[in-house]
Amino acid sequence: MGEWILEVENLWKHFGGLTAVSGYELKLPRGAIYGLIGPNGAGKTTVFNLISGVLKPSRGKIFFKGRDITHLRPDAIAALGLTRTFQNLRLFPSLTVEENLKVAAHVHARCGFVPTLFCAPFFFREEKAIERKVDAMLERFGMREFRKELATNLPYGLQRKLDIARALMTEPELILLDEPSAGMNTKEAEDLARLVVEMKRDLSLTMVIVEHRMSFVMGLAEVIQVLDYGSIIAVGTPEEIRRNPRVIEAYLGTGDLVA
Amino acid sequence: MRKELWFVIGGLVLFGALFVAERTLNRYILHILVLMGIYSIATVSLNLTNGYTGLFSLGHAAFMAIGAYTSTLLTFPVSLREAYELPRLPWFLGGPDASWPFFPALLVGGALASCAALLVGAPVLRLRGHYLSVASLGFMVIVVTFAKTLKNITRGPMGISAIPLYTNLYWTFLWLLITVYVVWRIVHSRFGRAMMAIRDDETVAQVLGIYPMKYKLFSFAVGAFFAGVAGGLYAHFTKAIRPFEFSFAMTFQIVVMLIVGGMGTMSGPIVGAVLLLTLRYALKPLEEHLRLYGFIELVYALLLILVMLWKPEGLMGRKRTALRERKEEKAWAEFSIPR
Repeated sequence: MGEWILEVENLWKHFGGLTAVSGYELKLPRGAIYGLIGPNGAGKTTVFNLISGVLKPSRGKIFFKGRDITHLRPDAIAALGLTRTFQNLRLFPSLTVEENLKVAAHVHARCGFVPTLFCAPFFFREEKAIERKVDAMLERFGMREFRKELATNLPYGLQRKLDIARALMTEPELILLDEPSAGMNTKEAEDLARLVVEMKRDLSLTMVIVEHRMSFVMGLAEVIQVLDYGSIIAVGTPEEIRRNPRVIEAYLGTGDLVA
Repeated sequence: MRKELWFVIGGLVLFGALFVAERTLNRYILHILVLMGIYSIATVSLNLTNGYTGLFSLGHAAFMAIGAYTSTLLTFPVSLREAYELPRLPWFLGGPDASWPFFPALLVGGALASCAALLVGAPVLRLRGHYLSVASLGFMVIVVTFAKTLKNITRGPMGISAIPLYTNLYWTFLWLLITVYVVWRIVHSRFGRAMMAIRDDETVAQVLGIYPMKYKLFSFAVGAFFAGVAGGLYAHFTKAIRPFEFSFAMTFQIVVMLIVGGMGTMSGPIVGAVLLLTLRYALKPLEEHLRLYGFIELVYALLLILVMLWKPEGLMGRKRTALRERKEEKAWAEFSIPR
């Protein structure tokens, strides 16, 4: 399976007459943090949708851990260890913080319907194990006191964190973060950046981050890809990207934004 | 573990109360109690799809019809089959000179309703929202039409009468207890959590590793099973069934019970069923006195509108808190994302 955890070859997506992604390529080494940036409508979220299986590509192939996942359902992809978060916060609004996390432990739960029905010891053991995982996750994200709170009642920054925590509950090897710091203030974003580094270290994660906040992604990512009109216009280290004239042009000369 | 114990104690208390009730109350009240039990089973099972999984099905009466007809055809006495132009049971069901006892007949009725749910669910559950509701309503019309036209099995529109009276207070509440137990176990396990996740956001649930179709079919089939059982209990209680009974009026009555009581809550469906039937039998004398037939349905409709206006989550529903805050936060989030 080589050193690439994720390989994307010549990925295309058409919506009717509109080409959202054209010829996207990615070779992602295990344990890396990659950044994906670009102006609005550049196709960043579409790329995430294609990789996580929410949308099917018009053309191209996606390999995860050497396995072709192009035509797998999103839940099968999640079971293999690839999951994502969402740009427009999509927590389960009628569930509590705890329940939101427990839902995501589903991939690894094995207890069938019959033992569940008859309260077999196996059922309680598994529920206990899930409970412990939730505890650990809440501890890590500093959200213990919000355990029984409805997810929608959390302050915005914590909702963002919960979204990431929930994705981590599936025990992924690769996680796609779609604008994790959107709507956060500077301090919250810094906290999150620290948390991301910790997560990567402790859970040996590989990550791809779509971001608008340049300071966030520039500080975290080892390699950054820049998308514009669905195709890659630049790839390189944050330093290279910062100086790349095509990138500055794509952002309509707002060089100060890239500072 | 303690909660399971409470369930057993609650069950014993319930049956003690039923025993006392049977000795002391008059037959009319007992009749109403049994109906409350049967409608509670139907409403609790509908809650599994409509409340927890967020599939607003309107086909529940169809599953009741399947259960009612199946169990009736199995238990119908051999001696009366000739007179009622009903076919005898085929050999593989123990025929021709046998009829089934009540309990297994109910189970088979429920199982057949479940099978129908799986068959219909595979295409229909791919639809979302109103489309699903309309399609399930269409399924109900199909089942009623079959019951009307398969004359040599169901006797067509004139229905089947002289069904043996098997359903009593104990059978009904035993089944209600089983239904509530099963739904309660499902809701507090990974199955229930998956169902509620699908209700809240199907795409996200799938990205987290839940295959929505599996759990939709599961909840639909389990709900249909208990609807089938409720139908069987109903048939062996009223002693006569006709196709049109399991149609719009019954479906909507159950749906109104569920909405008034509170979708996605454990107690809501039972509260709704008890409340609406209490209203029905309390208002019945008035309706007959005024000769204003359909008056009760008007009251139901009014109640539904009032609940929708003032407590849309239902009488027992948990209040969705902080809706105002949520809106503010959303506005703020949109403002702070750089464009």
